[in-house]
Amino acid sequence: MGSDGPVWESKTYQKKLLIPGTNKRKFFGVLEKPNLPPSVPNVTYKIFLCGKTASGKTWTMNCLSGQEVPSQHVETIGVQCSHVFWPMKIGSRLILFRLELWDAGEASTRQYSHILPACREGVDAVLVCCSASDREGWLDMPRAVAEATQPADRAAVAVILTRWDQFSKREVTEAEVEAFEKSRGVPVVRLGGTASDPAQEMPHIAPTLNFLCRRLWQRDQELLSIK
Amino acid sequence: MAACTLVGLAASSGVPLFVRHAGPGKPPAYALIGSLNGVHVFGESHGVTLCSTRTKNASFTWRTYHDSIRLVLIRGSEVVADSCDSRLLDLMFASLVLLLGLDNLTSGTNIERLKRDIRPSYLLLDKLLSRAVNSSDNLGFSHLTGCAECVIPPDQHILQSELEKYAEGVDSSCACVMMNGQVVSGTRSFWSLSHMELVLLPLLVATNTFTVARDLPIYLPDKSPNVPFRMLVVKLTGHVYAITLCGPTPTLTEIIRLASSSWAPVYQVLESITTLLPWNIAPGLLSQIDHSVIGLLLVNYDHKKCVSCVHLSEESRSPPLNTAKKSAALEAVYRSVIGPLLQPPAVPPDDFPSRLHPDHVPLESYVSTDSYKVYVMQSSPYHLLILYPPALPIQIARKVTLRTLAIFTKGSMKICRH
Ligand SMILES: Nc1nc2c(ncn2[C@@H]2O[C@H](COP(=O)(O)OP(=O)(O)OP(=O)(O)O)[C@@H](O)[C@H]2O)c(=O)[nH]1
Ligand SMILES: [Mg+2]
Repeated sequence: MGSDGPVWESKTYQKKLLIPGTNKRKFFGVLEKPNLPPSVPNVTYKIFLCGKTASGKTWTMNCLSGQEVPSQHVETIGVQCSHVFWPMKIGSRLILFRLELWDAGEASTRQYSHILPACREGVDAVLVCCSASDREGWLDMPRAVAEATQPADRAAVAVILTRWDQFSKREVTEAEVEAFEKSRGVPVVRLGGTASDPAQEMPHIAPTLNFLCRRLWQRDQELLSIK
Repeated sequence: MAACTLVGLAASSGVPLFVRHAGPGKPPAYALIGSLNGVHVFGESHGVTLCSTRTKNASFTWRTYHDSIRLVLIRGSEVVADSCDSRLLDLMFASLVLLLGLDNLTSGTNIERLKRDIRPSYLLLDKLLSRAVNSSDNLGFSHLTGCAECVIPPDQHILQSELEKYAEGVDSSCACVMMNGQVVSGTRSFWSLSHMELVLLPLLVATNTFTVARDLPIYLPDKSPNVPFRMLVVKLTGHVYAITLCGPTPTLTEIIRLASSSWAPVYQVLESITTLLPWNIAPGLLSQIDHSVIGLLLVNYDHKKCVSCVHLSEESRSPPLNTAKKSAALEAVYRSVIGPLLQPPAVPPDDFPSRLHPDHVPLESYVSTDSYKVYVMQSSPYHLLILYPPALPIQIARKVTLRTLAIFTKGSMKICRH
């Protein structure tokens, strides 16, 4: 983290994501973006959230975009896409990341054949969601990760382990997660819980967004060096 | 706020499919639900269809659809079950068709699967229920009027031509622009959707406000109950959405790109519509409305549009009503007058006692209570309900209502323009 330059500068710009005078994030339409100096470069990435029904795809999307998380499972209808803006310093340069999160309900995906190709087309990263209270889902993770991307995508892959906060219901141990990360070389993001104070929403999710953005940036550098 | 519960049952077996509840208290126990179905079945076996009934503290409405799904609406004591409740049930059934398709919904042999498939419809059912209990975070009248909730923008024609260009560009004939669950502008084919479709599609768009784009597989309950369409919703600005009904193409990615490029040149126009909130009426019209008017509801049944405004200022003399109360007042009067006395569009109801008054066709009505007055005027194809403070003399209320109707129906900014 230390190498990312003064964190306060990113933080000042992260304030631009909020509705002035509140802790709530602004809603941006496709024609809009946060008001940052024009000199700040913009980069866009497409991220697909996949996983079984109730694995926490929609929960994760809401969490990353600073919206209220669903307290009950409601199957997502069709595909939904949300844009998360994240100003962040990479090295000494401030960059405005736009993460385009794609979330499709599992039931709709099975029913309609156009959904999965639409979500997979041109992805930069795939986040495989799994509930930490779903032992079977976790055991199936190596297959899920392998199926998540096609080699041609060269997409970055990470596992999102949701409900990590529900300690008593956890069916996956810390040691297993570490072993998985090591053996597969796939990072596992432990998610769960929301900031108890709404003012802390952004600091609460910032580490995850920083991680994702840095990872996508790294992948770009790797792809460039391959060419 | 009264409580309201919706129960769905498989008509043949009586197995409960779902229970949704809004308002205070808990939904009724399963045993009671069973007997609610029981009395209906008992009636049927004697050749009687039980439509509604009332107990000391609740009212009940039953409707069975396609011999396969039975819906029961249970209301707390404040409101008497009426034709509005049967229409609400029709909308609720249509919500199920909208997301499942009619055949999938009614030919289901696997009850467990049907229960699961119905779950995504809870979003819409809950929206309708919260309308039924007049919850303040979901105000509106479309479920009562059967017409699309609209706003009247000042420069309709700019938006209209942009919308038509956009629709053509994405190869769709059915498109509209919406703001906060209200229609701002629609193509001809959009306005040819059925009443129920025009009520439900905007509600479905409003179920989700933070995503920038959605690709929703939906059926049209009246126009296409068995062949799904894709409803593509793109959020253009914080409040304004472009919606199109499409076939297999274009993809969601393409539509986002097309929406961005087509609407960017008119960003300022889109932003200016936002200033209509929360009044819903262009300032040019708003400024002509008399100061005694504290709320209004205008319906044009021919064009399937309604416009409401509950954010009008009030004389300081009388205690102010909040927007939820104003809304509730307009709703109560609509329920008690439109239907029983005035019928859309401007014909007396079938059971109107015409033998008593052979030449009498009611055109106006008013309701006066301690906290408000509402004057209702009918002039085909319009119904106009205006809310006034209680102290306003009724003859003045009548005059102002006449004048307000003229403001909306004459001149260049008629609500009837497409
Ligand atoms: N506390 C907590 N609850 C979670 C978490 N992840 C998921 N949940 C719960 O699990 C439910 C289901 O998650 P969703 O995100 O709706 O499931 P989904 O993967 O989108 O499912 P489909 O749309 O059906 O494909 C949520 O409504 C939450 O109640 C988490 O990290 N923490
Ligand atoms: Mg989901």
